[in-house]
Amino acid sequence: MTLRRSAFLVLGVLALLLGANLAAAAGGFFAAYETYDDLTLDMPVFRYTNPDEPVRTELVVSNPSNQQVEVIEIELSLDAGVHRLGGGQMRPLMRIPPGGSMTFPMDLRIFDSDYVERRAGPSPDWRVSGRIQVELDPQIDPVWISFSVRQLPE
Amino acid sequence: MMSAHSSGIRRFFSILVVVLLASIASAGIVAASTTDLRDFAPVAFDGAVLLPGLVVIGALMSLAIDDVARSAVALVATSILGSAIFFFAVAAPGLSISGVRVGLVDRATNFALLAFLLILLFGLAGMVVAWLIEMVVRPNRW
Repeated sequence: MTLRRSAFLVLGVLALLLGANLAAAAGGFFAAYETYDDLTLDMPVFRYTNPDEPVRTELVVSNPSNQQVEVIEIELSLDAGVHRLGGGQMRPLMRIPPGGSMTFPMDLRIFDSDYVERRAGPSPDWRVSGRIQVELDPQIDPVWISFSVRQLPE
Repeated sequence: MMSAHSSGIRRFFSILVVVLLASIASAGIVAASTTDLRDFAPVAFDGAVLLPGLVVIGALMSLAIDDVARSAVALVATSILGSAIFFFAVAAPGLSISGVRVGLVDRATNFALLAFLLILLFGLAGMVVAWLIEMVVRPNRW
């Protein structure tokens, strides 16, 4: 009887401690995904001049959450139709405070200027796809958030 | 007759409480020692703690129930409930954020299935440990 009660007691203490630990972990996991979901990405500047010049872009990352977010890396790909014609990347390693936003200017190189000149025409149907790596806490693995933008010909 | 009936109900509810406690403890130890939730846990364990931890929980559950057949049924119930708790802990963000719903529910399903097997198999090892403890503590029962 004593052995049974002792086992019950130890199991109760373990359940209490591990349960509280699980609840805290699940809460943190949920809050992290909400923060990632709250982030908004905008590309107000997309300036294409000619096939030999890089495409000038600006990516604005806004953080309306109440947690600081660090932007580690940004990768952008430049497509025209189904063809990948260029891109660029940067590692800003900058922190966006709660409720703040930050603008990241990026020049996207055109790798295949001949194709753009011959086939895509004067105002190609550009699509920018990319991903941004953000980190909430150094103890938590950073995550990649993917996005894509279509630039309609002017 | 009435006394035997009420004693049976009491026994049933005590097993139910043991299953609930073992499920929470099992889900907690799986969460604190596997990817996803470990990074967010106030106390995180190394992966090496997971299997011995599940054996200990299985042994405690078996000792607390003190009956081989009931312990076996309770272990299956613990595996189902423990893996379900773990599933909802991982899948919870996906239930409210549509962008990660498919990915997280899929991930939670895989990990919960793994948790089910781990809790069942290593809980069974814990039951064997409990019988060995009983043999030492109460040799007259054998």
